[in-house]
Amino acid sequence: MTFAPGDVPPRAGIGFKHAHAEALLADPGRVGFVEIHAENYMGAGGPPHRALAAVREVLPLSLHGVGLSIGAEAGLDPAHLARLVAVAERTRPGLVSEHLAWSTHEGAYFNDLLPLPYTDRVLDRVARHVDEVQTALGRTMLLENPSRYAAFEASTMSETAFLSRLVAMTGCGLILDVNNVAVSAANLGFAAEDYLGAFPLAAVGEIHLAGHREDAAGDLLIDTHDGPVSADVWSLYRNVVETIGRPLPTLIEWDAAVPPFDTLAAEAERAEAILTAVRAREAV
Amino acid sequence: MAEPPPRRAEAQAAFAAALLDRSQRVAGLVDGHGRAAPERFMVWRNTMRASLADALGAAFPATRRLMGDDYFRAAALHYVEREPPRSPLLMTYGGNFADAIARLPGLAPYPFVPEVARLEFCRLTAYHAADAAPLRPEDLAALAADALPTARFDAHPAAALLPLPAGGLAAWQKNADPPADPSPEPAALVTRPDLDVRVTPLSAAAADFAAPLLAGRPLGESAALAENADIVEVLSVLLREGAFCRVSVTSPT
Amino acid sequence: MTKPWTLTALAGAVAAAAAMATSPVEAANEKCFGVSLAGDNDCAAGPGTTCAGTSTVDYQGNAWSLVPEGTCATTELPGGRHGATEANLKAEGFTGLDRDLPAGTATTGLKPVPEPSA
Repeated sequence: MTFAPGDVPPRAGIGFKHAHAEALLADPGRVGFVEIHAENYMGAGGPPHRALAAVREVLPLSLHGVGLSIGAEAGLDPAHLARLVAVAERTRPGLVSEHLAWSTHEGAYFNDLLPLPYTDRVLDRVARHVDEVQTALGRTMLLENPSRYAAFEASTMSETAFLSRLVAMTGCGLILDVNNVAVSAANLGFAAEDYLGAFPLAAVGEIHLAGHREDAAGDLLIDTHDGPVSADVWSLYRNVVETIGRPLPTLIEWDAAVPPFDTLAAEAERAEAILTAVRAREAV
Repeated sequence: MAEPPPRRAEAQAAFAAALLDRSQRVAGLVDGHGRAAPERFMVWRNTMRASLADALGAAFPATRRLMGDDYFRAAALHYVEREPPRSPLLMTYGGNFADAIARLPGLAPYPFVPEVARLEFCRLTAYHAADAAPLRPEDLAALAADALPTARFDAHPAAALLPLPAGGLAAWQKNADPPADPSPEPAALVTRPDLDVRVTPLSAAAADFAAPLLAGRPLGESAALAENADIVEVLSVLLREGAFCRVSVTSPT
Repeated sequence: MTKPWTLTALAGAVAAAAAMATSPVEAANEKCFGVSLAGDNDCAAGPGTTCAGTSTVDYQGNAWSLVPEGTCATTELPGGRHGATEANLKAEGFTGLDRDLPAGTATTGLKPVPEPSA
């Protein structure tokens, strides 16, 4: 299957930060698109809305939810789904995405992307929830592979098999977070290349890149989003884009210890160079 | 007595309970070789705790400055455990953080600190409130004189009046970024007429007049209740700061 | 006690207030998109919705045994309010308030506080 990327071009983009609004608007051509966390724009109004509306005038938008809890045992929260639909209607994003994770239980919200075991039962549940979201949005959504710090003894299939079946069941697309692959591979002792070889690459509608850190206690990599993309992630990214054979919207995620706009834009330009090389090869 | 075995991690009720209660463990998490790895649960628990404590720190910067980083963090973590967010909208988290810290023994000598937290949350709420054009002075001037006692105002979506009797306003002003000269007034009007959140000191008498007006009581009744307020001054402040977005009158019959 | 207002007085007051007040939007000297509330951080507007993890390091600290180390003690308030409550507590022989304590906290020296009504 192919996924229509809407009006988000296959270029490098950045997470939009309010503090960067003026710098970004002064030179919007430095990035191909911006991405926002949907929840940060679910307030009733005020400066966040105003700044985003101005940015939206000049740049394509990818809308990335972090709080829908698509993997929750309980059903989706209809109020939150309605809020996501409202933000999508207001901001007209080219892409809408969420995570293969859960984050709420019995009304409590844990502000983290919590892990799921990969079983038939969980697959059915997630597929049902993805259908529900796609019906509410009236469009296809992308789902992102998580960072993993442990596996479930209860799992009966690999993450790539789970995602492949989910795509087949729902027609959804995927965000391939290459940093999450590197983090999960290090933490669970598999080769990132093997994972990418088994990933349903035809369904990928967007790629995420971010920085990670070693845990202070030793042997784990933590998906911190607080620094530049690491050398091994750049290398995995170049390889996977070459394998796919076409450029894809690629986001630089830098959500903590946010640098000046210039630093972020320079990181995006690094991804853009890789995309440009693939585009040139595609044209031959 | 033997401890009961830990519950299975794949049950979200068990996972959620262990996130909030540090004495609980879950079973069923393994490393890449299938070996039990219960300690890895800590990544999720700590991320939840740290990210929510950070969110509170960002929402209550002056409160944090007053309490000091370590004390604030301990208070924030205690709050996170007992009162995790009830919504994925973190901008709404911390609505009763002021009440929670008001119970801390270490803050008993400083009753202005919970007031600072209340004011900071009020500013955050105003920041995200719906946009609306504030009532213009000429809209008020245009009303027929004989209808004025019946005039009722709709408070602007961002407007709120906060009583701060223990000096919370001055404490916030001194610890705000940038700091401002402290006001001795025991109440504050919080507004956001356009994009900037504004905090205006009000005297007790001014607040006595402003409160019923903001609650939608008629002007005549509010003015009669405000014994000591300079109603010209207070009305002009309310208009200037964008406290209202509409006025309506009942035609005399 | 209420102070009755005549129609004329009220009309005069309203006219004076309207004349005194500048329009709120004109008065506002705005930056382009307003400042974000807590500085250069996504947390400001949010605060802090992120997909990032932290680490296995545990965060601890008992809020019940700590005292402020920030600007509490040095924040002088107009009217000399600061310290009055501390003095009151000490005069009553207490060092804090006994309310909402974690199980097992020693309550010696804490003033009993009734539960707030729901």
